[in-house]
Amino acid sequence: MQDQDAARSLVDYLYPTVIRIVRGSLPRRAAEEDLTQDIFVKMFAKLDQFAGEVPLEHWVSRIAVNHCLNVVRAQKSRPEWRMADLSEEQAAALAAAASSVAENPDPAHLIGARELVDLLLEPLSPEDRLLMRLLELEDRSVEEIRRMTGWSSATIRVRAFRARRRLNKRFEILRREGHL
Amino acid sequence: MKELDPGLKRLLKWARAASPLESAEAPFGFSGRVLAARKPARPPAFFDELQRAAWGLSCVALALIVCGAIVLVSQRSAGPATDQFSSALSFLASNFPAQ
Repeated sequence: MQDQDAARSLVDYLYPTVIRIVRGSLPRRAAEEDLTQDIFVKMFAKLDQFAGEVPLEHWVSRIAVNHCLNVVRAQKSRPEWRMADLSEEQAAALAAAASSVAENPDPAHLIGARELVDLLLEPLSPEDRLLMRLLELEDRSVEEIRRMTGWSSATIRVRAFRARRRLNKRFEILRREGHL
Repeated sequence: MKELDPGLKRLLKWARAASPLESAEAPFGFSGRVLAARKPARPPAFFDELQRAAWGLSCVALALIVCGAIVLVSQRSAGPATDQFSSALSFLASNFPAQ
C-alpha cells in the first residue's frame, strides 16, 4: 500500500517534466495522454536500473525523449504542403510576419502563426523538431536541453544550425510562393 | 549558431504567445491508470524452476567430473605400488634364473 502511494506521488511529481517533452515532440496532441502513460510504465519497468548518477528528472527526461522520438519516427511522414494549402489564418499570419511593420499582430494571426509553425516544423526530423521546439518555443538553454536529452552541447549546436537553415529555407519558399 | 530569418523569428514569437497555458498537472486518475498498467511482478513460472534445477544439476555433475579427474591424475603421478614391484621381480626370478 505504501509502495502504491509512493508510486502515485512519483507520477504526480514527474508528470510536468514528462508532459512538456511529450507536447514538444508530438506533431499532434491526440495521443499525448497515452504516450505519457507509456513513458511512466516504461520508467517503472526500468526503475531498478536507476543508479542515481544523474538526478531522477534527467533520467526520466531521457526515457521520455527516446520514447517520443521512437514513436514519432514510426509515424508516416506527411506529404509536402504548399502555399495554396494554407488556411486563411495561416496565410494572413505569414503575410503579417513577413512584413516588418506588424509588431502587434491581430489575435487571429497568433493562432495562424502557431499552426504555421507546426507546419514548418513538420518536415524536420523528430530530433530537430524537438530541438527547435525546446529552443525556439520554450526558450530552453543548450545546457537544459543537454541534461534533458543526453545529447552533447556540440551535437545540439550542430543540429540547431541545420534545423534553422532548413526552417529559413522553407520560410523563404513560402514567402516567395505568396509573393510576400 | 545560425540566425533565423526575422520574419520567421516574428512568427515563432507569435506562436509562443499563442500557446495556451496548458496544465502541466496530472489529470485526475492518471497515476491510478499508470499503476494499473504496470506489469505486476511475475511469479516464478514452472519453466523457470525447471531451468534453475537443471542448472544446479549440471553444476553438481561438473564438480563430480572435476573431482574424478583430480583423483585420476594424482593416482597416476604417485607411481606404481611396491607390491606390484615385488611380484614383477619374483616373476622374473622364476622365469629367468640367474646364471
